[in-house]
Amino acid sequence: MVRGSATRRWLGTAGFYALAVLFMLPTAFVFYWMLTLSLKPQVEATAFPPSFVRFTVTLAGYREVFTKYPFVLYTWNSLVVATGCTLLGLVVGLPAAYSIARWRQQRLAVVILVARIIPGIAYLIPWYIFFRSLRMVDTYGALILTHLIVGLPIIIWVMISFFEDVPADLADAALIDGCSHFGVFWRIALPLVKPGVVATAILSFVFSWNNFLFSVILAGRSTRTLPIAVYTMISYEEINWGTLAAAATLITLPVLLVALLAQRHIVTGLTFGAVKQ
Amino acid sequence: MRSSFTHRHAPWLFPAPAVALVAVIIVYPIAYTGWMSLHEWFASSLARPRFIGLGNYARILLGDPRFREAVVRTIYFTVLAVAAETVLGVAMALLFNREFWGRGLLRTLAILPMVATPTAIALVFVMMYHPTLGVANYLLTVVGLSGFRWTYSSQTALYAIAVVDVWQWTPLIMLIALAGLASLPREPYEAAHLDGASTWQAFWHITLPLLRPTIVVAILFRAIDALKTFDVIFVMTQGGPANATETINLLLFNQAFSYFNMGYASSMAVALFALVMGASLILIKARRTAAW
Amino acid sequence: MTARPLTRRRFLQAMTAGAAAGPFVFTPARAQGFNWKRFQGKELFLLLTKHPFIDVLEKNIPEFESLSGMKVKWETLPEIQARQKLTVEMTANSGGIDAFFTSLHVEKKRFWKAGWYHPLNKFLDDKTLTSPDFDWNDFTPGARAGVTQPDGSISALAAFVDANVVFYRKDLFAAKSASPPKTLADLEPLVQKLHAPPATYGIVLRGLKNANATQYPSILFPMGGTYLKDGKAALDSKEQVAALELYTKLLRQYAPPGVVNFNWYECSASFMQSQVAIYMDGVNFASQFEDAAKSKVVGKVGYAVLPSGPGGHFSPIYITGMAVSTQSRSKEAAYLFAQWATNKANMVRELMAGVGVGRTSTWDSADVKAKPKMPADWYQAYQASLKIGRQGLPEIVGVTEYRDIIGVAIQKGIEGAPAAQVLAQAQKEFQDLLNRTES
Repeated sequence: MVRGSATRRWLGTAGFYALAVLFMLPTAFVFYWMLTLSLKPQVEATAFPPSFVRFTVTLAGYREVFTKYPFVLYTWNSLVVATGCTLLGLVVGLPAAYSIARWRQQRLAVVILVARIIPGIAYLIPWYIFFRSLRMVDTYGALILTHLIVGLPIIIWVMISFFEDVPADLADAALIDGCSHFGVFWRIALPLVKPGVVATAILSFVFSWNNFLFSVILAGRSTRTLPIAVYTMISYEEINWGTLAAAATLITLPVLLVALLAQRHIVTGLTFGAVKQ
Repeated sequence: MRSSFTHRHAPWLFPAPAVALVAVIIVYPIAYTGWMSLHEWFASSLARPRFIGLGNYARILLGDPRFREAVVRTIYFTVLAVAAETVLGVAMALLFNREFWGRGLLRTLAILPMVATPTAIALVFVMMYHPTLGVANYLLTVVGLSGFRWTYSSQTALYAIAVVDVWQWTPLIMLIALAGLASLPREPYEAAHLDGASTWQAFWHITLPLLRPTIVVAILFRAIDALKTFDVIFVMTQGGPANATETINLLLFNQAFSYFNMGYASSMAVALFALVMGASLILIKARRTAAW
Repeated sequence: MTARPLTRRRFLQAMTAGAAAGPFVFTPARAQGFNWKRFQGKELFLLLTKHPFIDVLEKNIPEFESLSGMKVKWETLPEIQARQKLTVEMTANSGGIDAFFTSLHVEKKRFWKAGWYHPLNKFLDDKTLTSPDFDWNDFTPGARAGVTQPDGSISALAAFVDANVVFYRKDLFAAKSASPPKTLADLEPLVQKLHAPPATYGIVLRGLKNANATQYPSILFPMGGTYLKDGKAALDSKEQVAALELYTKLLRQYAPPGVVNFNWYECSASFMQSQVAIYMDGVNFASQFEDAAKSKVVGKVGYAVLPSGPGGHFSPIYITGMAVSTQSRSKEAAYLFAQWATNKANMVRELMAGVGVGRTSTWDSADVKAKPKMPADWYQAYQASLKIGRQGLPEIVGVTEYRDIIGVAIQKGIEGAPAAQVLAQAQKEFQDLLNRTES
């Protein structure tokens, strides 16, 4: 029966990989298609039947995107806003998450969530009035503050789970030794949840990066972020699929790179959060 | 050494900065929206908003079939998308919860859709869904299926958009479930094995309950986002065909920025908020009974 | 331009508001003449919309800066985002926008009622503010009517004037020895003759709600239908039913699959991919058909005026213009920009780039005749269409709501619902809308 079980195992492995490919193919294909469309001239991008592998490669779409829009500036702006939002979110979010986890402040968790639940469109007009009266329209400050609505709840909610896993005995022992609450948080809890911090920081960065609704209104020409660019492309007379795909690729590329470089952190982070010590 | 004041009050000093910051950015919008929802105003520079009490809410609840349809559609879309994501995501997690060649590649692939910019992804799907020029229908003809209409028919548009949502967010559920699976304790399984439980029984009675708290948080965030989906629908159909994909958020946007019904739009924002809040509380309760 | 009946209270309010907010009316102007440099050193902010007209205009803005000595900053956004931005700024009463590009066919009455347009009548009459060669009467009557409100106030200077025309594939027509449709009665048999799917579909028209509302009058007007009768909704008239039946039948039977959600870009794409024999839409889309980088049908496209019908011969026209914001702190300077953007020289540039404009003098321009970008029948079809032009959408406050109402009716029709039934529903909603907004 040794042979039989070997065959079965081989079949099992083949079946597993067949399933794996089946599951992951759509994911890969959409990105592949985005990339190939972006490299095709217009006439081939809308050709039917479409060409999958052999097509004329052109950078015309990318050239058009770069000449029509200040892409470098937009990228820089997105970077500043997403980084600022993430850092600020961590500075205020980590102590809050720690506090919610340690002192079981579930109501507070819900309050933080409220910010995220309010429909984004409802913010637009009041925020504009608010930030204009502070002379903050078209500043990074306003964008960073508003993007906190997206980043902060994620940071807090994910970090609660991480802090819950920090053994209470450890904290109590330190307190008895004369350590302050901040000391416990800073020297004992935080090092233990470092993978979580990295993971949530990345998530917060990505969600801030992808947000476009707020910056249409609150950003001006000098602080406009990247997703607006793709939005600007979908408009009058823009039927050039090659150019659209090029813009889509360019906007997605930076976050994809971040995710690729940091994917181990994201995943180990998530794993750590679930592991009971 | 440590100050007794800060020590005693640590439980509210720690979260204070976060709460203060959130308050600064949301208190005015909440007040403004609430106030505006009691008025009728067409964004005119000539006329002040006119106070009409609960008139807007009465119209929402009783007099606006389009809003009612949007509510049902929003809930249907959310349940559909999140349920599909959960089932698929957990199934994939169970499949991939082992050592195999290509695990790193799988993780990488799984992360990509959820970090990709939704507007960009929506655009790509628009091009793929095109009924005569799109690659989706071409691939279907290759396997012998005749052309679907995707977002180009009121019968299928909502599903076609749900597919985009599922495409984007199933990997999140999968990763979270995978993380949960990796952390499961061994003992219950060993005990179950001794008791002669089947794999299915072990999954149903041990794995699932242990995974629940992790999954519920994922579902909570997914549900909140799905109820508020805007970018993808806006880019792909703008609510059409024939209002078939008009969710509350889309209708709200139209009321405010196409029809200039500022007051009415505000009352819709309040209603949408109530809906999402309700859903969240139910889910939070579910998590609390699971762990905490 | 003579009688201006001041019947509406709102207009009075608008005028007082305008006067109160405009201290520059009293700028000492050295009355003797017009001077581009009068507001030298000022800074203007413009909100522009992504549009072929703006694509041409933007390139020349530096020229205006050196002409006027002003600094111009501007932002160009897609139409919906631009409207969103404008709404937020106006609602917040920010005064941050001096002039904006406005789609009058959608926004005319709404923005007028909201008091967002600064009335330009006085500026136009003021010889120190309006260049002698501007020549208001050079604008076609349709263009002038399009920017003038019921009370006679002029809300903008007409920029782009779009007309619906017929695009057809000359090669396919020749193969079947067919000619462009003269009447509505010719249309369906012709489309049927050319329909040979999947290689060629007979016709394509916009199906997507809201977007389709600007194409629907191409059938509705010649059928004899109107939007309003004696100020009441008229969506359930028998002409409406006949028009919607024809429009939706054409799309249901002879158009590419999925047409129900086609906006102009899907329509144009299928036409340029050589999938469609007849396409009726805005005249300005034609410049892409003749661009080999985008189109497979270069040189094969014929242009003709829309068919006539029992109700007459019409072409729905749509006007966009350059408006001055009531909240601007530099209204006169902003007016200088609007004036420059729509002057003869700039309009010639637009026409040469294939963008339709409503200035009569441009037609005889030597530049346009010497270097025509478009085929001769394009110019003929456009000119003939302007002569039979009629405002394509109802001139009401709630244009967008109307467009959604009729748009949904058309989409339901395309998917098979009976015309009379969907129009009865639309009639009810439209009358509701009128009751709410037109009082």
